[in-house]
Amino acid sequence: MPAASSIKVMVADDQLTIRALVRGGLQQLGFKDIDEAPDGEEALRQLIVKPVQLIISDYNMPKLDGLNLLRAVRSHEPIKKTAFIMLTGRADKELVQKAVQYGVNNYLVKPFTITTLKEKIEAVFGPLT
Amino acid sequence: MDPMEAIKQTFFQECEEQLAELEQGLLAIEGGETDSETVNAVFRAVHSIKGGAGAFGLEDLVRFAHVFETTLDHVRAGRLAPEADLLKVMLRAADVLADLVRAARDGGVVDEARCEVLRAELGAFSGEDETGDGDDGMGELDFQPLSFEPISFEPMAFEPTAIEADPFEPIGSELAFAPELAAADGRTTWIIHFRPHASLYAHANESALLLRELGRMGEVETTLDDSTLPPLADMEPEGAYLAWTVRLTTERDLDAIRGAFEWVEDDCDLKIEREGGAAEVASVQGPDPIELILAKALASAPAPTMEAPPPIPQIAEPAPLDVAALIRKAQAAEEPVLAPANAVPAPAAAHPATANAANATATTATIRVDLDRVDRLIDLVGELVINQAMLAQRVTESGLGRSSGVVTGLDELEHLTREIQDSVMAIRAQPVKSVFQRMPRLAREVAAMTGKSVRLVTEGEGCEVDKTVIERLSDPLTHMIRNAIDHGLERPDKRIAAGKSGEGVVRLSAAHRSGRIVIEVSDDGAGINRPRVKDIAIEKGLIAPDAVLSDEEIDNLIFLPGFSTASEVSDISGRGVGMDVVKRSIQALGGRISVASRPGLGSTFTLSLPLTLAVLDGMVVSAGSQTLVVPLTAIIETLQPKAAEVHPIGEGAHVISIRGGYVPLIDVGLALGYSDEAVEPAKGVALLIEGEGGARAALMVGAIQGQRQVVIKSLEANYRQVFGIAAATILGDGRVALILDIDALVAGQKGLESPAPVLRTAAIG
Repeated sequence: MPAASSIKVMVADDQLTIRALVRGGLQQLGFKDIDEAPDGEEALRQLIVKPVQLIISDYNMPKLDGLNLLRAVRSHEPIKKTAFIMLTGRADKELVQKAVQYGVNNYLVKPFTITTLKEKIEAVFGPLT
Repeated sequence: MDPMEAIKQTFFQECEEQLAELEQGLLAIEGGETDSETVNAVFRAVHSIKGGAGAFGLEDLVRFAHVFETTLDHVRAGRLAPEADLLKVMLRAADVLADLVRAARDGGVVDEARCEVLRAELGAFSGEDETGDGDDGMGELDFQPLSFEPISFEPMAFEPTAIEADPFEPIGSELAFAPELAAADGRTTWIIHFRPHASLYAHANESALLLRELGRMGEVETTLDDSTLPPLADMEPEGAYLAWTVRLTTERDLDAIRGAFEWVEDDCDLKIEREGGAAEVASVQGPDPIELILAKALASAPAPTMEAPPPIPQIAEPAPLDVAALIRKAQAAEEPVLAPANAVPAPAAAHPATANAANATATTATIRVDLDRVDRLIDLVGELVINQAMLAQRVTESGLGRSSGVVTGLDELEHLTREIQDSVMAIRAQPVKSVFQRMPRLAREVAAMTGKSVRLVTEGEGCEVDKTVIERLSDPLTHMIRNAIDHGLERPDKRIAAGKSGEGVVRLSAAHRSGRIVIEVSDDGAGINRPRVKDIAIEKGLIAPDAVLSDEEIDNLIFLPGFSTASEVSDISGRGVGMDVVKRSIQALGGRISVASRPGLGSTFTLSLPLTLAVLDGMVVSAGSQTLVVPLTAIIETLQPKAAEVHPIGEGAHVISIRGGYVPLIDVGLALGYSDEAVEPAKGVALLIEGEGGARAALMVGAIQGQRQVVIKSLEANYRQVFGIAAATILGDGRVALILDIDALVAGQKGLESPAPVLRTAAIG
């Protein structure tokens, strides 16, 4: 049972609103170390510098989309095994399947509730303390 | 503010940016930029608005954005061409979306019928039900029900035990996750394009066997493409001329299908896609771009910090991801595996602090400050300027020598005060873009209502000017753009008959020119119809029937109160507001407006505005018993006239000859009613000034007191509008001085000259 406060998170989304919502939710769940990036490229750059344990990334972002961010993360040895939760604007089956194929750990459909956020994270890490 | 409310405000701010991006993107596509990046940016803007709106439960917005998004998705996937018709609908949809956002923010009401019409029109293009809740194919997937309930920020306690009671089954691991999706999905239909190269056969592989392999996976429908088969005479015995398209319905996944082609991937063109989806799922052509992306990121990222995140010791046995191990591994990995040669970390960048500093500068380029604070600062600086001026005056009065330390120190203070003032003014300066970007929508709407075809070109949107000027520019500009399209441009058939393009061009531009901002609105229409303008002016009694006016004077008649050229009051321009109101609002900003028109080629309206409304360089003069300030920008020269140079022309009016030319002479004290007698030419001073449109006049005043920077205080806000006076100020000695409205004075004088003295009375009354 990992403590939420010990898990570093990267939130990648081009929308400030969504980043703020995810951050707000994470903070409520006890997460402390939360980084943000407005696009996949920036997220990747930051991840290389500062690895995290959990990436929550939007799918549709400029420069580098969520799927390609996932692929890049999975093909870069030092961060290869970072937990990756994909945020999608709509329940797009094809997209989720593609993401699964590239090794996504879970997905989150916008808009989401804090309960869903917690469930999805716990599905990856086990119950949070 | 409660955190949710704060995020909501962020959302609305972000929406404005996205709406601007949406409109710009659509206009770019209309202009031929149909590349995927532009289309995707447009899609993303709508998608983002929808996503955020969902989080706040703004259902109307979500519903509309959804239909819009669906149509854009078709465009993005290439199923729908961005033709002119579709773009027109989408631009109007963008307008409705903007209205919906604003309604959600300000609690207004949106024209439901208009939304409905556009939803239907968009739906017609995308060929989908416009109800907004179309089936997105997720029904059979085990997704949790969508909830529009926003995240609650009330303190919530998360009991670890609560999770067990939770109705949702947590997904165990990625391994469990993938099969679940596949199983829930059942059979999928894939379209496989397979074109063997000659080398495939040379390597002893056989197409028939591969096709048979696919046949074992599920139901197949195979189509042979023999279009490249040459005539028998030209056929190479070892050539490969056949290709197949296989429609495969199977439970197997993409990897299994690709597996069948494992040994021949290099010897064929292979494309596997899901039926109905244009998106390519797998292709063996070209190298994987992901390595390029990663290499790019590695090259631009600072070196990894040596201080790795602490492991998470508490992770229990069944955790699907061993994060701790992953981190240990990360620490162990000395070199990034995929790093290209040029990505070797530079030693200087290896320090974590450097990396953090670089990150910090990248993200905190701007701050948001409450406008009240800035205005308070500007007020204070204004007071500082007055105070400094007062101090300077006291020092002068005390008779200290020019070289004394106090005087030089004071000079320095003045210099610094000015610099502070300039810097503070710069805080309030904003690009005119915020006004300009509202105009394309206006142009579209007016064009639609008038049946004209318009292209609005904007230039110089980056020019900065005081926020207040920008805010008060919106109405006059709106009116001028409306006029340009409604009155300026001809109908398409008339334009074509006149040998012009059917589409009219309205140009809106801004530029900085000698301490002012000049904004031009020009059209390539028919120009001002001078005979008609003159007829109307005569009919309305604005000028005498026998008046002889120059072209320029006729053009300027449109600025007269009560003048309107539209023979029937049209829906667009005729809102009881004429160019006189535009002129007045521009003048209230300390600006000037002029018009230049060429028959058949169009008209150009030029606005010249001060960059700031807070300070003014002025010449302090006395007229009668009053102290007045004349804006320095208007003064060309000052001169001491001789009695012989002043000539009377008719009742009470005079002209002065300056180097052989004659200009009207206005006695300021007389014109404003401060004295009953004109200043004797030899005893006073004449200021040669230039008003709007280059009209010159000489102002006769008693004496010049000096040149000074003054802080403008609104007279209207504290008293009321007074003819000939633009504003007031406080002088160094604490007295109030009025700032002259040069243009009003000159216009008053022109009224005197014109055959019917209507203007004069209008102006005074």
